[in-house]
Amino acid sequence: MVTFLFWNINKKPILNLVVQLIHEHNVDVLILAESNINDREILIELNNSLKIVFYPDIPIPKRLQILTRYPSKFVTPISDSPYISFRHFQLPLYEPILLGAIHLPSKLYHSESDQVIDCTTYTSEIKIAESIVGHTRTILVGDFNMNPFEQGIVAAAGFHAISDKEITKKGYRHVGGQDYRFFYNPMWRHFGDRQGFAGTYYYDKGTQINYYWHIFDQILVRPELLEELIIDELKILSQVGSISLLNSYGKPDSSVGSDHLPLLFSIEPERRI
Amino acid sequence: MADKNLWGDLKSIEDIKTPAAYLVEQANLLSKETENLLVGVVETQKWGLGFRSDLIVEVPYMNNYRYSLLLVEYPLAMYSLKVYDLINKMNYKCDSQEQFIDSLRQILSSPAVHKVLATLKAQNFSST
Repeated sequence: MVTFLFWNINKKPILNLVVQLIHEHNVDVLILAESNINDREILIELNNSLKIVFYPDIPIPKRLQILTRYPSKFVTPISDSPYISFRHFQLPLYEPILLGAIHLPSKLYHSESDQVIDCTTYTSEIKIAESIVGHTRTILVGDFNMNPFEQGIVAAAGFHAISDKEITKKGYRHVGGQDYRFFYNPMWRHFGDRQGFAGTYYYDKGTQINYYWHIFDQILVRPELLEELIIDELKILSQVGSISLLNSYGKPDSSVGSDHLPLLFSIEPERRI
Repeated sequence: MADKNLWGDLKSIEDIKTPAAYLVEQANLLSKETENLLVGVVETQKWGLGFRSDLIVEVPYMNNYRYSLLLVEYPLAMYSLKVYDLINKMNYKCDSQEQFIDSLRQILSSPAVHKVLATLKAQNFSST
């Protein structure tokens, strides 16, 4: 089983919380967005206190940090663009996984139309990465700065990520003379306030349309990984040990953690023997 | 007045080993036989009304890379229990200790499990 943790930490000095989460959930792959903490600091703190050690990623400037407990021979960098980084995990005795870590531009600087159009560029990057590794066992994770229902996520020429597993299993959809491959978006299961909060990010604005809660932080999986995603292990976390990441109003508490809540999920990749 | 023994013959009470204890024995044997190139680990947790024990192989030289071989689900009374062979993708229902030991033997000595062990052991000697 491979356990992933994604967190947009909003440039907060909360390394202690990140490390505690890694301990608490036996995380194998850590992905941070909006982090001001350098890899060296994270590795020193992590490797000081774990039975396992984490390895650094390739040292190039990027919007995301990816640290894993797997030696570099099992994790190949495929590409890094301003908004998506691809890493190919080839773990012994397991089928490979292509991870796309994502941090898309904020709605503050991009209109919804910009976001939709940009998505067609990101999907080209996904296709290229998939053709390099020669398979489509792809998982995307990150801060999409769009909700699961927004056009860029749902559109065929966008991420084409939908809420229904069975439809996703068809593999692709034929639209306007072209085939578009699906992603499954399990984040739809997290709408509503059953958990005591209703998303990964909260924003209250004084305009006609106000969703308050957003699920900008998402994972999307290709049909090939549907059965390998452990759906019950996909969690939006609101606690680090006994520390609540929510304030007394039940909203993300930036004075303790980040304005985003972390996302935890696990995959049991297909075995090769 | 001498104390009356209302327990009956306590010395004749059987020493029963839990399924987890059998797994720990096999895990320790793996570590010993491979001179700790592969380390057997057993993790037991509460599972529904009973327990679940996982037999995992760890490769210390590969940053404690873990690979699960099998898992056992058992009630408090221990039998009958279920063994899930994760390598050969087979399940066993065992009504007795003997059947449980038989199923363990069948799984652990299978060619597929030996292939897994050989592959993991080989990782020790390839560079990182």
